[in-house]
Amino acid sequence: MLLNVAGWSQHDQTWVLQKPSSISYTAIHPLHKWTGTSTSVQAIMTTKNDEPEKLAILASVRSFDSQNSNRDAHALEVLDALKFPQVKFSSTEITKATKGYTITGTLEFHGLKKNRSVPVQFHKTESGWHLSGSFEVSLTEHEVDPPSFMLVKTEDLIKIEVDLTFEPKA
Amino acid sequence: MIRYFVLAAALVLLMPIRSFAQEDTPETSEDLFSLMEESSDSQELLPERMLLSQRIFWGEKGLFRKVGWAPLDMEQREKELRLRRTMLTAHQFVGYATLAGMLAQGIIGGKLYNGDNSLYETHKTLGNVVTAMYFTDAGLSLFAPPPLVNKKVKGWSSMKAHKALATIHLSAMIATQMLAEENKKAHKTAAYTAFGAYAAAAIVMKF
Repeated sequence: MLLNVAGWSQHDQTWVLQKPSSISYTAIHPLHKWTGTSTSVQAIMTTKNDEPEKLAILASVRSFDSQNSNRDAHALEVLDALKFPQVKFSSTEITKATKGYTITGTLEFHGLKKNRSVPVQFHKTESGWHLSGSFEVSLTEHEVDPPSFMLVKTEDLIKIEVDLTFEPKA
Repeated sequence: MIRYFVLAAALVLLMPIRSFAQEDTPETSEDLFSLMEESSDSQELLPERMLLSQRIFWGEKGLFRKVGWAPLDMEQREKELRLRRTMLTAHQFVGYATLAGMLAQGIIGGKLYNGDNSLYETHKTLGNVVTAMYFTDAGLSLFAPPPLVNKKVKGWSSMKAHKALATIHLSAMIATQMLAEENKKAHKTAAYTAFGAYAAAAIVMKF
């Protein structure tokens, strides 16, 4: 029994984010498209029997940089950044798919929680894990009014790309 | 008896290991957030950098703060950011209307320049309307509450171009007014410069 408990403890591991890691969004306006990237992301993952088990990701909406301060300021206004300063994702289930994995979980964005299933790739590296994937988020589904420029609104769907590298938690 | 002793000893040995394992293994993914560090990202209400016109009215020690109309707190800043968005949207609308007015003035002014004096009063009236719209538009931008962030961007940016062009069209607008009665050729040149810089300022802006 003692051995079992010790063994179980060894198989469970917690992983924290290491650099370089980033989350980016790409938005499209009829006149142009742009990408904002955050490298100040926080994420923690647990594994069980050497398979991803749980995942939580957190990013401050202020940390996204699109190389255009005016645009970033506008984005913070439409996202009500003072009221909802963070965007969060937490998994409820991580399952193996035909290609890669599927993470089912809750995305909290603009203060609203929505269930999502996201196809991702988990790769074991020398020092930990690498997670990559992309999915689309509807702004209006999260009650965000798509920003407009020249009286034309940006597209409702923004593409989120995740590129995270994990190392063992000390 | 020995059996009970062994069982009790095993439980004593197991308990700390089990509780350690529980601490390290959160029940749900939501629990993982509690293991994260407090975000070091700024939650400042005002940006470090802002326009002088914004600092005078909306800065930490700005006029609206001092007279108590706009106390610097989160609730008030949320209202200010909504007001800012309204003012900047109006800035876009009034800007396009002003541009259309400038274009009309260019056509009428051209006819006037070629000797069609019947349009003189129309040109003068429209000139006053366009000037009023122009400065209203400038005011909507200059006196809007400051944004949440104002990052310093290295190199050239659309906003820097917009501001540089604003300096040109403002100077040209003032010159257009001042030269209206004195030097028709210079008035025309100044007006075309104002229109060109204003149109370019609208085009270079990117959301």
